[in-house]
Amino acid sequence: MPPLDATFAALSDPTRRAILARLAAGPATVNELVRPFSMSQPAITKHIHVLEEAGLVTRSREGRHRPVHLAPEGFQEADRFLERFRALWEARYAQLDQLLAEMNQNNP
Amino acid sequence: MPGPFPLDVERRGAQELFLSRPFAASCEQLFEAHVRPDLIRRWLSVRLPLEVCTVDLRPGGDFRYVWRFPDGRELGLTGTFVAIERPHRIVHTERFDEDWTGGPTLVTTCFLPAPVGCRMEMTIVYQSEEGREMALRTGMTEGMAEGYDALEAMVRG
Repeated sequence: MPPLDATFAALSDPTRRAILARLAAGPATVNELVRPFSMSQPAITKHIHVLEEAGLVTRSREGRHRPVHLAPEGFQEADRFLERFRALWEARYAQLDQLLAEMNQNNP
Repeated sequence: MPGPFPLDVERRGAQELFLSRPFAASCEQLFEAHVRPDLIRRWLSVRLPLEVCTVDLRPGGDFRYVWRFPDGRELGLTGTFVAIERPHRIVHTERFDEDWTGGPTLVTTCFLPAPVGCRMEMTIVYQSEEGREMALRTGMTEGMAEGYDALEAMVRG
């Protein structure tokens, strides 16, 4: 699993998030990914490379094509995604605990 | 006050996520904290404020949240209320602007009386298994909008 920094950096860009959204519907070739964006193929390829480095996508080889897929995940890795999701919500709910404590003080 | 209550997060079936956590508050208070913009901003902004938070709390009414990244870019979420049963249940649909969940999700949030006060149970139904897994991967972008140093410290434990 790459460091979280790499994942965050990869996800901070709206084009890369849009590419991931497209891949959620199924694998796609670079050409297919270039079409919806007003960007050059090298620019899109660079974005794909960043996503690859972050472990979010992989590229397979099918003849001359190298379709881009969402990275396959074993259970262990899937659980890491779940743990990150949990960490986000734990942080939010810790804030909510504080807020509710204040509400209790103001209206005992 | 006791330490934070445990948060249960689990996949259910192919298309659902289930979150559950008790809170030391009444269900009325917990409900309010989920529907009043001034209160929502307080806990959906771990560090940075939600820049936009509007809530039209009625069946068919919309809500809109926008977080802003430090570099100025936005992360937006729009939802529509389906059913509201104050203070025990909220059903809504929601969709991120970039739609990385492969279509809108259906979210049912229940507030159930519990020994400590109130237990929140949230079921998120995605349109596909892929949509759910994408949500787990990209969910942390929301965390970024809230300052990811804090989030990362928490993940590293």
